[in-house]
Amino acid sequence: MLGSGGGQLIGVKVNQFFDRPAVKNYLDRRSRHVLRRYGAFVRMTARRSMRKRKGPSLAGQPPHAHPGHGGFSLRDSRRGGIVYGLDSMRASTVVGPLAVAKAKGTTAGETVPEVLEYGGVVRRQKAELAHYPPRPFMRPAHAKALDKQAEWWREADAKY
Amino acid sequence: MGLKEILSPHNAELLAEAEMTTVDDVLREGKDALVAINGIGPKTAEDIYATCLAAAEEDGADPGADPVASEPAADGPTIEEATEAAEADQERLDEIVPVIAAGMTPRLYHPTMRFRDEWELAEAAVRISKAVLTRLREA
Repeated sequence: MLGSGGGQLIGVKVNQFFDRPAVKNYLDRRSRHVLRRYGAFVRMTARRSMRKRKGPSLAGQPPHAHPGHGGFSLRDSRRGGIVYGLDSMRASTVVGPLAVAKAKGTTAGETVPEVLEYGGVVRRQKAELAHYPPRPFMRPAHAKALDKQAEWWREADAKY
Repeated sequence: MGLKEILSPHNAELLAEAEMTTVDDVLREGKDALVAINGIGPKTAEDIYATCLAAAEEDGADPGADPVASEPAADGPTIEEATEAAEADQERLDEIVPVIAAGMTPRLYHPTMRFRDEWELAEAAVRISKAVLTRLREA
């Protein structure tokens, strides 16, 4: 399935700028337009799917945003959040949360966004294991974006 | 209110590509989100944001409201929570330093991170390639 993060993205360095000469040289303008639209759409959709509510969201639903908790926020661009950019090595757009914090106590050192997206087991105080069900917020946004790609191609055709 | 009515066609188009088409979109996302759009610098972002604020004010909205925190007040942090968050922020910053890839700095938390060339993404990231988009188009 497209868009599953898999284990290959950690450490991928993403050049955010779509207007650099190196990018322009190997991507035609229409492709750049569609790739950029995909990134913006997925970022915005994922962010807006996280509503500001108290308490955890239902399993299977996007996580709730908790203003003021921990200083880092997936929803708030001022405190981390989700970014998109061009992976110049693979002529693709990558959209995702910044890997700025690893969840404490995970056996494989997963990041907080990863535990939210895919679920996971986190060792808490006194060796208590906490099971977190998946609360996907990136994959649903990706799926919605696929429905829009035809529209973006039409835009690109009309524009360039 | 639509952005095409109050911004230059060029700026309105840049924002539309980033899925911002209304004044509410701009106020909700904030200035940093504007700067993150290719082709819009800090000065232009300031101008656009000020224009949208003025338009919202004319439209009867509360210009003093924090657009990011404009959802129900019951969800906002109390003073105690905000203080706690500020302390946790510093603690988390201390934790993060060792796990950030070489060449990256704790300035990730600062709004200037939008100007960075490279970021490290969590594994929750999704991607799509030009090849796949082209195949989808042809299907």
